[in-house]
Amino acid sequence: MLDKVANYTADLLSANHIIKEDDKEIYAYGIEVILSTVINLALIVVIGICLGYFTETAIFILSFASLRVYAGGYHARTHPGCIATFTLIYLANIGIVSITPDWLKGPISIGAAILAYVYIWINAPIEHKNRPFEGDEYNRFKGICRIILVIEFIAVMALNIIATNHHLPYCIALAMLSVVFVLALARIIK
Amino acid sequence: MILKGFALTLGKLLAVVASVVAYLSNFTGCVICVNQPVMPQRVRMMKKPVH
Repeated sequence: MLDKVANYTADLLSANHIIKEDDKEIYAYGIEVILSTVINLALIVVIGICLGYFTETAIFILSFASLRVYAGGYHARTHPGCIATFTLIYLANIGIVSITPDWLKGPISIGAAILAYVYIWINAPIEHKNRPFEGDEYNRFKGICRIILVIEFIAVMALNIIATNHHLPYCIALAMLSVVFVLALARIIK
Repeated sequence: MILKGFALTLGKLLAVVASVVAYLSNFTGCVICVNQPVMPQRVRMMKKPVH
């Protein structure tokens, strides 16, 4: 459905001479990506605010998105499937954060970060057939992905040592585990 | 007339943002969300220098 909205909007822009007829597919692709991202992010931010987990939601989005765009992994075939999967991953994160006792957050975040570090280091990036890698993209994305992975890993470890409250590193570690989940799902479905 | 001008300005703004997003998607492995639209070849060509 979002692809139809994007194509219709691109047609409208072309009909009003804002864009060239030949460039329609570029703009349609850009609009589809914008719509998909805005809808998904807006939905989980609203859910996060309603549940009283705005900070955790912001940390989830930052930690997950920065790794995800370079690590790749599972992609749903349809936009409703995409929204459902992304929301479920987010709700699982928030659910786990809310039920875990504070004294367990430190050890679990360290364990989860180590597991995610090893898995993502070995397996990322995974390309998708709709966006195959070209030239040196595989090695470039692998390098960037590893840099972000190291930064998040160090953040989890450092915050566990420095901070008395282990809530923040726990949220980052769970977001890293979510990336592991989408990578593993892509391997299983392949 | 004013409304049409406003709509055209919004359209131009959307076109600029859409083209920037399409261009920048060349520098990431995939989109954040769980649906990856088919990337048109013309989007890939945006990255390549014109001689």
